[in-house]
Amino acid sequence: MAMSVLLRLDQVSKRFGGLVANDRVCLEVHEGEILGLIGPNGAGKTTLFNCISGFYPPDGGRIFFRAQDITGRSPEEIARIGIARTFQIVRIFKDLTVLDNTVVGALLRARTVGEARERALRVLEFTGLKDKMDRLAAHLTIADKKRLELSRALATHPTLLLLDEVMAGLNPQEIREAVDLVRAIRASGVTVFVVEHVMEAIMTVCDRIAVLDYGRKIAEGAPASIATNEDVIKAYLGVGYRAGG
Amino acid sequence: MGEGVSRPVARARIRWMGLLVFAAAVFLLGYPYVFTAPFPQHLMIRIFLFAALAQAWNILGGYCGQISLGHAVFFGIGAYTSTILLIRWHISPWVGMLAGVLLSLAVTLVVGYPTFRLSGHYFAIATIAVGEIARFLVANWPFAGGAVGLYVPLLREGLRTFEFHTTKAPYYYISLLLFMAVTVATAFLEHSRAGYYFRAIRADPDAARSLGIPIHRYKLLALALSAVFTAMGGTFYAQYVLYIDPESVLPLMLSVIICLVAVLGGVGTLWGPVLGAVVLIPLSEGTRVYLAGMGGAGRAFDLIVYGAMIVLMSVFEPTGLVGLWRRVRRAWR
Amino acid sequence: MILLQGVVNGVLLGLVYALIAAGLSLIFGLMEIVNFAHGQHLMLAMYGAYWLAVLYGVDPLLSLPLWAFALFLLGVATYWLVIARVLRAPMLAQIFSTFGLGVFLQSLAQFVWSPDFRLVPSPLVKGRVEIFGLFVGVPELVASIGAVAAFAVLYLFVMRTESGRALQATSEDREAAALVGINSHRMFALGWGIGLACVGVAGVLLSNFYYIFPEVGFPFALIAYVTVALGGFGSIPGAFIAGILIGLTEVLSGLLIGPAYKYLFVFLVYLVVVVARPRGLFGRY
Repeated sequence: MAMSVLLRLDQVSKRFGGLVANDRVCLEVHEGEILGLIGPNGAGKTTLFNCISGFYPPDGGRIFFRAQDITGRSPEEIARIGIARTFQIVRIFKDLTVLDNTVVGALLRARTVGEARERALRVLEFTGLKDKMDRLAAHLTIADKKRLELSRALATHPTLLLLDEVMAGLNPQEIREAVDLVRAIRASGVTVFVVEHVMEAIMTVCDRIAVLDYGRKIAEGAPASIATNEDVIKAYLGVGYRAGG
Repeated sequence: MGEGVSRPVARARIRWMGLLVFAAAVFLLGYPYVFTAPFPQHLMIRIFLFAALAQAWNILGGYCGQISLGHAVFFGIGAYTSTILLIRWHISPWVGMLAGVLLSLAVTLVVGYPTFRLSGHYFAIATIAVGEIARFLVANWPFAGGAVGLYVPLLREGLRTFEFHTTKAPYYYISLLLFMAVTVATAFLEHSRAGYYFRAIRADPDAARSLGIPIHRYKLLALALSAVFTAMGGTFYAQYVLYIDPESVLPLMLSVIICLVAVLGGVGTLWGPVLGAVVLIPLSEGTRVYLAGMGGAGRAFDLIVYGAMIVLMSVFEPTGLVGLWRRVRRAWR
Repeated sequence: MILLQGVVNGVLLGLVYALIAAGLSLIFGLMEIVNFAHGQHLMLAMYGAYWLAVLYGVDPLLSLPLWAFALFLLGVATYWLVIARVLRAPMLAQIFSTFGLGVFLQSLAQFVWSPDFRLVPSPLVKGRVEIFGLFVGVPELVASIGAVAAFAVLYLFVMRTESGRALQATSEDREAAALVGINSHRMFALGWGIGLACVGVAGVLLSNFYYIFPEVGFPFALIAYVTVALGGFGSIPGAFIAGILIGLTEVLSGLLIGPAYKYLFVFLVYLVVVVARPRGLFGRY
C-alpha cells in the first residue's frame, strides 16, 4: 500500500544566534499516518513545528506540503493550506466561551457565521466538549483546555494536524482519552504529527516515530525499533522504556 | 451568554426586556418635550455624543484589543473637514461629514499599516504621537484657522444646513441617532465574522494567526470602523457648538475622556460605553459648575480625577462597571 | 558653519534624549511594560530642581544627587504600588495604568503649581563658550556631559556589579534568572528605580536652561519613545546611539526644512524604523 507524502522536510535548519535548534532535518509525513516526534528537552521539536507552521522562517532547507513549497509562508497562509496546530503551552481564547473558541476556528472554511457555528457544534460533539459549550474557556480544567485547543484546530478542517505535547500535565485516565481521540481524528481522515514526552502514549498511538537530539534527527522507524535503538536510549540517558514491557 | 435556562424563565426574561426597551424608547424619545430647558437637553446630548465616541473607541480598543490614546485626531478630522469645506466652498456639512469620514480612513491606513504589524505598545505610542502632531499642525496652519480656530458660519436653521438655533431638540435627536447607529453597528459586529476575529486577535494574536486569521487586515478594519464613527461625532460637534479650535477638538484630554468613558463602563462590552457616559458626563458637568470659580485650575482638577480613575480602574477592575455588575450578579446567585 | 553648529547642537541635545530613553528602555527590557508617564516623571524632576533653587537657593547641580535618589525611590514606589499589580493583567490594563498615572501627575502639577512657565533663577552654569569657532551654551554642554557621565555610571553598574548583572539576566530570560535565585520582583523594582533615576538626572540637568511647565515632559517623552524604538527596546547602548541620531534629526530638519516640521520628521523616523527594522538597531524584539 503506497502512502503518498503529505509533508516533506528537506534539510530544514534553524539557528538562534549561536544555538543551532534544528540541524538539516529531513523528514516525511505520509498521508493518513500518525507520526511521532520525540527527543530530550531542547532537542528542537517545538522549533521544528514553528518552522512548519510559519512562525519561524527556517534558515536553511525547504518544506513541502504535497508538491507545494511552503517554506517561510505566514501562519495564516499555512492554516489556509490545511495545516493546523496546537501549542505547547495552551493558547485558548480565555475570554470566549468553548463554543465561540471553536467558531473562530470554523470560520476559516465556513462562509457564514451560522455555518461556522454548525461546524463548531459538530466538532465539539466529536471531541466530547459539547455539553460544556457555553462555559468560559478560562474556567476549564487543563485537560479540557487542551481538548478545546484541539477542537478549535480541528474546526479549521485541516489535512494535517500538528499536536505539540498535547498530553503534558494529564493524568493517566485523561491520557487514555487523549490517545483515543487522536486515533479517532486519524480515522476521520486527518493526518497527525505529534510531538510528545509521554512515552506510553506515543509508543501506543504512533505508526512511526522520529527522534531528534540536539537539533538533528538520530533515528526513525516503528515504535518497537525506536525503543531498542541504542542512540535513542543514549540520548535520553537511560529513560528505560522497552516495547513489550 | 448564561448557561442553559428553562423555557418559561427565558420567555419571562424576554417579556421583561421588551418592557424595558419600550420604556426606554418612550423616555428617550419624549425627553426633549418633558425637559424643555437647554441645560438638561445639553447634558443628554453630551452623554449621547461621548457614549457614541466611547463605543467607537470600544470597537478598536475593547473588542479588538488595540489601545488608541490619540483618538481625538479622528474627531478633529471630522470637525475640521466639514467646517473648512463649509467655510471655503459652501459645501453642506452632511457632505462634509462624508469627506471627514473618507479622510479619517486615509489616516487609518497611513498610521495603522506600519504600526499594526507589531505589539500593541508600538501602536499606542504612535497614536499619541499622531494626536499631538495633528494638534500642532492645525494650530500652526492658517488655512485651518491656526490656534484661533474657526467659526462655523451662521446659516438659516434647518436639517439641510445642519444648524438649529431656536431649540436644541433636533441636536438631541441627531446625537441620539448617532449613538444608536454606533451601538447597532457594534451589536451586529458582535455576531459577525469580524466580531469573532476581533476578539480572537485581542485574546491571542498568534493563536489567531494559526487559525488562518489575517490579523493585520482585521486590525485595520477595526480602526477604520472606529475612526469613521468618531469623525462623524466630530462633524456633529462642529455643527452643535459652531466653533472649533485645536484645544477643543484635538487635545489629549479629549482622547483621555473617550478612553475613560469606555474603560469606566467596561471595555469590550456593548453597554459599557453607555454606562461610562451616564456616570461620567453628569459628574464632569457637575464638577465644572462647582469648580467654575477656580478658573483654569478647575480644568486640571477634572483631569486629576480622571487620571486617578483610569489608574484605579485598570489596577482593580479592568472590566469596568459592567464587570462589577456581573460579579455582583453572580455573587447574588 | 551653521550646519556644523547644528550638528553640535544636535549631538548635545541627543545625549540628553539618550539618557531619558535609557530609563524607558531599561524598564521595557525587563518586563515589557512601557512607562507612559515617563515625561511626567521628567517634569517632576525639573520642578524639584526649580523649587529647591527658588525656595532654598540650592543650585540644580548641587541638588542633582538628591533628586536622582528621590526619583529612584519614586520608581521603586511606583513599581510596588501600581506596576506589580498589573504584571499579569492584560496589556490594556498595563498601558492604562501608566497612562493614567501620567495624566494624574501632569494635571496635579498644573493644579498645584499653575500652568505658568518657570525658569531657574541664576543657575551656576550659564552663558556661552566658543570652541573652535562654534558657540555652545554652557548649560547645554554641562547637560550633555552629565548625560554621558550618567550613562557611564549606568554602564558600569549593569556590567560590573552583581545587581547589575542580575538585572541583565532578568532582562534576558526572567525564568532562567529566577531558577538561579534572582528575585524577579526585586529586579523589576530596581529597574524602575534606575529608570526613573535616569530621568531624574536628565530633568535636573535640563532645568538649568529649559522652561519648566506642567506639559514640558510630553514632547520629551514622545521623542524618548521614538528613540527607544530606533535603538531597540531593551538596549541601553542602542538608546545612546539612537538618542544622538534623533537629536541630530530634530535639529537638522528644523534648520534645513523649518522649525514647525521637526517633530513631524522625528515621527517619520519612527514610522520608518517600525516598518523597516522593528527590532531597532540593537533591540531584541
